[in-house]
Amino acid sequence: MMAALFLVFTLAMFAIYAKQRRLAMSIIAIGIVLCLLMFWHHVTTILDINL
Amino acid sequence: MVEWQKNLNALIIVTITGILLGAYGVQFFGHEDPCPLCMLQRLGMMSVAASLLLNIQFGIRMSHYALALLSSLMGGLVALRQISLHVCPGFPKFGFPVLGLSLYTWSFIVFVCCVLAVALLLFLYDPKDKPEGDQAINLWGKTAFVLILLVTIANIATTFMQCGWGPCQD
Repeated sequence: MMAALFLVFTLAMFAIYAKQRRLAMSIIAIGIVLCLLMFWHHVTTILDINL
Repeated sequence: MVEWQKNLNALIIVTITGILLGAYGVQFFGHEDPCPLCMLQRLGMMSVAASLLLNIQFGIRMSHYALALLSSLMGGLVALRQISLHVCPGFPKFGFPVLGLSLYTWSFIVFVCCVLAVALLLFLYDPKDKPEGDQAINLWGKTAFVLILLVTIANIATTFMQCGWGPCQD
């Protein structure tokens, strides 16, 4: 899943190269949200911490 | 004025690329595979760089800086979490220290510096300098673009070799 997240930001950079501003901004925003979800998954599941 | 600000954006991107290459140095020469939280911090730095690339390609806009700030906050949150895991006395540090500080502590400092740098750039931003449609990217911007793109693609390959498409082991 981490490799897929790196892929998301590579896609954002290609969208910038292709001069698709709104698409690039959307992909970056989705990437940030996915990173936060992955962080939450890591904090609560993998580390087995109760919050 | 706008060109000068774009060069500052490119400088931040090149600095972030250097930091990510330094992380690669630790990974390959220090034989230390990155943990999931370390990868999320790398992603945060790439997200900051991608947000600043928007300024270089499309002209300076507040929304691009907003994305850079959100990315810095996300990365800083992850770094702070990792610091809190190891900060108590008696708990072992993760990884070897650089100049006395762990890499995740340096990562937090980098994200704080990103927030400060974006704040400084926002001071320089003048709303009257409206971005035009298609703008030519200068050599500085092109260099920053190519470098961060190559590092991001390299990270896909190394992360895939380490974890595949599934979740990474802690």
